[in-house]
Amino acid sequence: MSELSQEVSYLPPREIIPSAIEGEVARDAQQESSKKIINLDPAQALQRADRERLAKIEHQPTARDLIAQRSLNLYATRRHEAA
Amino acid sequence: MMFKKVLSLITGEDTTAVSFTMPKDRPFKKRTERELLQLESEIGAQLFGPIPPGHHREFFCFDDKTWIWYEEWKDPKTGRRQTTTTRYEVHEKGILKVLEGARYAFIEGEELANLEAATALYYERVMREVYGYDPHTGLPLGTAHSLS
Repeated sequence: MSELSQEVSYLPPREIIPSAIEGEVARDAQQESSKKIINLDPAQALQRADRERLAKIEHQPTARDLIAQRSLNLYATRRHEAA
Repeated sequence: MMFKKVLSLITGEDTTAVSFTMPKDRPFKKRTERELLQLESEIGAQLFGPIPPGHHREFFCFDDKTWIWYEEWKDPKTGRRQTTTTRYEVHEKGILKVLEGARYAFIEGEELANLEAATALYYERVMREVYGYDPHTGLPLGTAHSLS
């Protein structure tokens, strides 16, 4: 058995973890994650911020997408409604 | 009359033989695509503010990839009739603006934002006023879901 799976097998089932411990674990994880961000060098941090910004932009419809969607809907509606 | 001319300019077809009499007294009669397009254009022409006296404007979604802006006016100095037709085409890369004389460019910045806003208003009004659909849900106006 690998080291990882041994480690996992010792974890108690999720439902029996008391909520206080759960909160502590979450807080520790958050602190750890903050440390990681702080430990990034400026170039890495910039790259990470760029990636996050890009991901946000990519999920938003652009003006072109909105115009394209309206054109499609209008044309389909007109054809559907026409005699 | 003007609308027929604009359409024939765009499609290259002679539309003079087509009757454009609007069946206002028969609201339940189905309209042809061209009649619907004309109704859409009447709304589209109002979206860019007041039309100056002596000017004529058409703005409409021609098909699933093309928007047309047509403007006609008389030059006050020469008295000659001036026209301009602008076609906006939806491409994968963006919105291509095509002007007479094979001039074309992808629009961006304020011009793209203005066109996007105009198409939003057009869509909102045309879906409601011409077709009777809620533009957000796509349901017929007056149904329970379209009011939510």
